[in-house]
Amino acid sequence: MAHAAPSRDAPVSSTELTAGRELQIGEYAEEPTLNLSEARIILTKTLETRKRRKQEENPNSMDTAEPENLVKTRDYLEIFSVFKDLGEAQQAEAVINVHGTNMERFERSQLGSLVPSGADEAKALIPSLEKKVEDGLIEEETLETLCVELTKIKRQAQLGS
Amino acid sequence: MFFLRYLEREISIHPSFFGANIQDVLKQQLYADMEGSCNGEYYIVCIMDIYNISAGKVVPGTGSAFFTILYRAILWKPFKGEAIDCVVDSCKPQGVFCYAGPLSVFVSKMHLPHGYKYNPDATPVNYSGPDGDTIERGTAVRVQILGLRSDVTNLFAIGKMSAGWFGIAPV
Repeated sequence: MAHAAPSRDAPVSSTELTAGRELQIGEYAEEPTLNLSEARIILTKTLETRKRRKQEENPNSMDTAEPENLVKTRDYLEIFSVFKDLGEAQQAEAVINVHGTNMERFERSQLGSLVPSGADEAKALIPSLEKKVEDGLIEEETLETLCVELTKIKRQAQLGS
Repeated sequence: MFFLRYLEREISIHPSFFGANIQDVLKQQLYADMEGSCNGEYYIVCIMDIYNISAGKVVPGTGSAFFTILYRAILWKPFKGEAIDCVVDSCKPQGVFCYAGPLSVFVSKMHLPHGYKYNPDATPVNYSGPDGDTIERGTAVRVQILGLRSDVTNLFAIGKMSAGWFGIAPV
């Protein structure tokens, strides 16, 4: 006897979610994303607060060991986050919000993390943007202006540090 | 990509820990269990805050109690096709091993930028390009993720840098 048709689609394995020309990131499309700079700022703040609270509760307490993956990620963010300063990160976010109409959260954060120098680089690094430009959802010039503005803030940030 | 996400965790506590400071015990347990862990789908980098701890329920027959903790954490999840920056860890004849935070990414020598050659006699061992650039331990590179393999407690990725704009990361 034939089986009844399944009432739902088979779940997609999490390693099969793709951020290619079509953004297929499943449930993660709804989640708030962070670019590297934002992640670094939040992570440092959280760890600082935790440390301070611990000190207040018990001034003699020793620093407990941090998990390996946390340390690795913190070092990674320290190397690759572009905007170290909160003000610069907010400027970058504002620029992306102004010019980034029709963009998903994922794409906005990728732009903020990778800071491409121009529209061509942005399209190569984030394939879904290329498709959106082809489909006319995003203007090539707008993307170019966005990248130029972001690069300006990046240069400023590098001079400041 | 980093995400901020609300998560849920059930923790069972042995009766010997029941007392006035049970909330602290639960919190400590949560931090110890979850922070820095990977479930094969994402890494939980850091727990930001705990916003609800349910009332405990005693499990019949054992005496231990179950609590459901709701918390918010910073996650890191790589996607196929995503562009990420990583640091080169080692150069091998087969290709290059890099790290993006906790994730290890392997780039086969076929997927290095065009014209890169392996130099086993150089110190440190490197891959050198036609225009004099070298990829060696410590170099920052931009990689596109080609595929992911998940383990119960870890993730592994393979990537490529052969497309335009990928390769040694811009300063």
